Amino acid sequence: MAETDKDANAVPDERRPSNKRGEAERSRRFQQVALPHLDAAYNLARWLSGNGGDADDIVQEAYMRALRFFDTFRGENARPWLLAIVRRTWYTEWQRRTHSREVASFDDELDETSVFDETCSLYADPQVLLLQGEHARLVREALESLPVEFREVLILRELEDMSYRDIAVIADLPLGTVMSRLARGRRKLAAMLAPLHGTGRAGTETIAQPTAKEGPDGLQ
Amino acid sequence: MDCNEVRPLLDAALDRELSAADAHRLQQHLQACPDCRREAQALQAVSQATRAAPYFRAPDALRARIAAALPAVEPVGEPGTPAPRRHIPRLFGRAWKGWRSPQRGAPAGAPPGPAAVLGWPIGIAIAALALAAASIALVVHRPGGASGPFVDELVASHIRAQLSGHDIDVVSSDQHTVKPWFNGRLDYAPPVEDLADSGFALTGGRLDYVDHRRVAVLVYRYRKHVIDVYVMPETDTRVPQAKTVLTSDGYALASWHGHGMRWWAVGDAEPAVLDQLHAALESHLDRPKADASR
Repeated sequence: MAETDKDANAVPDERRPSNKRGEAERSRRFQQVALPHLDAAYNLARWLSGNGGDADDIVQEAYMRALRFFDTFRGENARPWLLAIVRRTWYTEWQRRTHSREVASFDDELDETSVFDETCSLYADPQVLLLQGEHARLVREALESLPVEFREVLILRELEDMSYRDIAVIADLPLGTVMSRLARGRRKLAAMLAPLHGTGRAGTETIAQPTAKEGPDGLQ
Repeated sequence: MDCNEVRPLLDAALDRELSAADAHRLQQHLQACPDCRREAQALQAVSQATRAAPYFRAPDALRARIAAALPAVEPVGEPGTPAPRRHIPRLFGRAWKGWRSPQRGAPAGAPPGPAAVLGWPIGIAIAALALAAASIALVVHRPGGASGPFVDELVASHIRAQLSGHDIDVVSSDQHTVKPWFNGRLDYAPPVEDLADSGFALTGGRLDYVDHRRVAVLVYRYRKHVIDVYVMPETDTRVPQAKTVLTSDGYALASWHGHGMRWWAVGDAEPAVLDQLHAALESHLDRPKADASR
């Protein structure tokens, strides 16, 4: 209820009684456009924040923001528009929580993964990564331990099946950066998952200990 | 293309983001180069492994919270707020009451239906007509698209899926692939039947969001037409119980109930085609099956 009042205040015209019908129509259109993407919004928020409670709050806040900015939505593809708001909501919240610390932005140039070095092969045997269901948990842990810059593009690409262009819109990145982060993220993930299988590789059965980088700067 | 050119393009190739020309040249190199081929396969394996990660769906409580926080869709007390949703069953119900009332007497205080006012012989005639219409199919052509929010939502959902190119989440003509795909994505198990032998080829399924809930959509192809069949549990009493065929914005819709489900077929085919689909589906579902457990 409080949110409704707040939103109505943000758009004063909507409170005029003569506009009641307009408000209802706007709300109906918004629900038609935005609610079908609620799962996608939640999935992104959940993977960004790492827990369900934060994801709930982020998505609700993002939907209220989206309604406020609904007039700026030009009727193109709603999913990237909405997911960009979800992502921004999370980053804003994350920065608020860590505002006492110096936050450096992520520098793609400083990342150590050499992507396009042709001598850097993923592994000897591609079968190594044909994972079965019981390894889903390990994939999840590996993804969660990836720096968020890589995690977000991987989630949008692999779980939402989004195009590079849409990912660039959502993550507010140049297309080239989307491509290189995807490539690097896959190789990082591969390196974490490779020791899963003993075949042909001396390795432990457990995943490499996550380095727990949670912040968007990857510096934590 | 040599290896140095190919390696940076492998991700984009996997993600189908290369131009046709580049994709072709890359394929040519992969056929000749076992090293790059292995790298491409490994990359594909990582991608597939990532797709095994859990997809977190929004909890119903969050869905409800957001819906509650949004401004009301239908303003309270607004004059002229239409509620024509029950148009069909009410028509049918009145004729029924008209037929019944001369024998049993109308309940005290109940407003007499139009048929009762007319007297029972005419009431019987109306009831007979209504019954005959309902037993074949109640065909309604409503001008101006005044067909109720639920039907509007179905048509909008169907159109949106067609426009976005995202009309299928799981592509398969195999009902044994489509049916399990819905497991864990829905809290009910929709019956899934391929009807290719009747001309309705199952091409896949998707999840959609209609009337504030997640529903299964089975996608059939009939000649050039795509027909979406929405299947939802028979819990919603707001939709008409009688079999209904109607058109809205040039789209034909048919609705019926059976096998514990409410079915809505939507497509740009003729209404008669939807009738055929219904008949084919019924005969498939009623056929005793050896592998009923699937």
